[in-house]
Amino acid sequence: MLETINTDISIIGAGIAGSAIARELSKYDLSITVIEQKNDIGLEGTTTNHALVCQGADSLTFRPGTLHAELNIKSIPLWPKLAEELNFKFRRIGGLWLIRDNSDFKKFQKMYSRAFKSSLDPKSPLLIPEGSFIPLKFLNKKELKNEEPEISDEFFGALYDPNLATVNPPEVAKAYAENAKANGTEFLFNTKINNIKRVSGKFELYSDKYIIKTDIVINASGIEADKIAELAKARDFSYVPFKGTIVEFDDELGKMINHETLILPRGSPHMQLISPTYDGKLRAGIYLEMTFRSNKEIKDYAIKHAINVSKTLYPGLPFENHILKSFTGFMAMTNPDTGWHDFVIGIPEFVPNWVNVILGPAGVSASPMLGKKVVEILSKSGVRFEEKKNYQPSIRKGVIS
Amino acid sequence: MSLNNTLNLNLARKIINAMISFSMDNNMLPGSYAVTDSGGHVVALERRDSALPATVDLAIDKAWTASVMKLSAKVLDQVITRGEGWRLNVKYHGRMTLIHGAIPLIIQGEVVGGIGHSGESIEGDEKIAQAGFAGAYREEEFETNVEKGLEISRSIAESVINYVNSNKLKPVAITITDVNGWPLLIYRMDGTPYGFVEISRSRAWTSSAFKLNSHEVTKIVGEIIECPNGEDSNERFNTSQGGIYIGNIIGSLGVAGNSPEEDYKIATNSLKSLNI
Repeated sequence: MLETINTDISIIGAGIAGSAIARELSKYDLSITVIEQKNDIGLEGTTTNHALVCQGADSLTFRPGTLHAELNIKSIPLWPKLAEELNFKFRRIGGLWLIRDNSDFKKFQKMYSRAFKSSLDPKSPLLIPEGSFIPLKFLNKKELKNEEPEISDEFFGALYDPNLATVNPPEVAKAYAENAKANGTEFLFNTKINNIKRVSGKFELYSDKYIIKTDIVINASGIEADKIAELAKARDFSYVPFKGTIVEFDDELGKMINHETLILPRGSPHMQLISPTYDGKLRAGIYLEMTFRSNKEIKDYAIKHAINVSKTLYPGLPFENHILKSFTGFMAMTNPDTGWHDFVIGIPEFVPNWVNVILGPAGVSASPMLGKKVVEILSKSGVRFEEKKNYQPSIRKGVIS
Repeated sequence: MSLNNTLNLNLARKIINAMISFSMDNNMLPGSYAVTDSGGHVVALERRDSALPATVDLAIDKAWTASVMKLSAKVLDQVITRGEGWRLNVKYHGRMTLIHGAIPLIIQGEVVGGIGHSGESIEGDEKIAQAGFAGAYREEEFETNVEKGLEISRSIAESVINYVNSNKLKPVAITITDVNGWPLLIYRMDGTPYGFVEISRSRAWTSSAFKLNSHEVTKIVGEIIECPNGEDSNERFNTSQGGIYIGNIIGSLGVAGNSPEEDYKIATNSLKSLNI
């Protein structure tokens, strides 16, 4: 006999998206249940990424007019406050976009000016408040060497973004979740949704143990979001799984590199970067391929790519001897034919009270804004939100009972 | 498991099924769904029963455009030609279709074909084509509950494929048209030279147009006639063997890939095994 649970809002998926949205919704007078098929928070895409939080050059250069750009830029000023409220490590490392030649320089100049137009002009709708952002600057070869003594002599300089930060995304997800829990959100782990029915305006979510009866569903199930949406005929988006392979180097080598360092790929779809992490290690890569989501195999050529990139940037460092681990992860990429990726956060035309949340790259960085966007979208569709009087932004309670 | 970087009929059918499933789930208008190879030649096409006849060639031309330009119509229109796309058509008699809903199929970093959809709005066509691309990267099959005409067309095509395979004949191209001569389905079996696609289609058209098997048409119109092919308007005359008139719900079956005599045998025996 299945146990019945009644709730106002169900969030499917307890990764960075589901947890962030749960926390935001826990500010309102609602009963919320987060449903996760694994036994803990953020075990998939939240864990398997480069652990960077876009804060400057990168997020400002996302295609203007996209949700991707909007949510990332609006999240920039929210991060430091969030780290303080939820007490997680937020480390500013800064980013160096290396210049090989005039062509790189021209491209970065264009990005630089786009950043100013999109978010630093006082008339811009996405204006970043003063004090949340240190302006970018160009470094010459000598200045670059000062920042990164081990960098290759091949580079003439860099575009320097002092804002870029790193966090431990699963720690952030857990912080969101524990705050949501302390404010009344329920969590169901080891609960996989197999079937969804709509009965007189309500959704019924079926797992092996429960029937969850709910008014609203937030589908934040990461790389599985398409399959979950199909159960309710609510898939009005498409994406392709992009597998990324990342190599992690130990903290001994981590001491030698201070900033995220990258070059723009030429004639190759693979990212070329190495970056310090929140805990002093390094992550490098990223070999990207479109493939089936079950194909989690780590390939030699993908590891070689990470090592080659690292050696191109820092030829004097013995990367081969300092590998800690390598891992693969998946991102949901929309518009894979053009590379014009964008987030999807929306209610399908024919399935009211259902919100799809598809992130893909820069999802962690946009997480502070996700819940606010979901509230905005649901409010527009007629859902009424009443603020809780006793919401506490900093308290935490363990989510696994 | 990873995806093989060759486009075959099974993958093309999976992509089409993914598109149909997406458009049905989202209550979109029925249309035509096409997949072409890297040279722009049809591998598979399906048209839902109530879709507009003209969407057939629009879908094929969109897939063709994505295949031979190795780019999405969206990019060709917005980035490459910036609204001057009509100039491209001086060369290809209007075939270059820079309307959204035309995207290249990319596997292991290579463009292996094109996906085209026609029948919805610009946004709808694009969404459906994207669903086809994403469908290639799903491991499970999509189940679709299609209308009667397309359902029968699919079972006839299956029957032809089974007959060809079990009799170890050369692979064939299959076209199934409605009573008006417009294709409901075109499949090209793996290994069939692409030239046979148009032959199968013109045999099926001729059968539908004269309500006769294609090779029997000369009995009523004479051996030498003036009937130039007008592919631009779907008029395509071919009186060789291989076109069978059915005339019930669907119009005709056209098969091509072996000698005309064998193609005729394949078509009749495949229909017989289905009691049509």
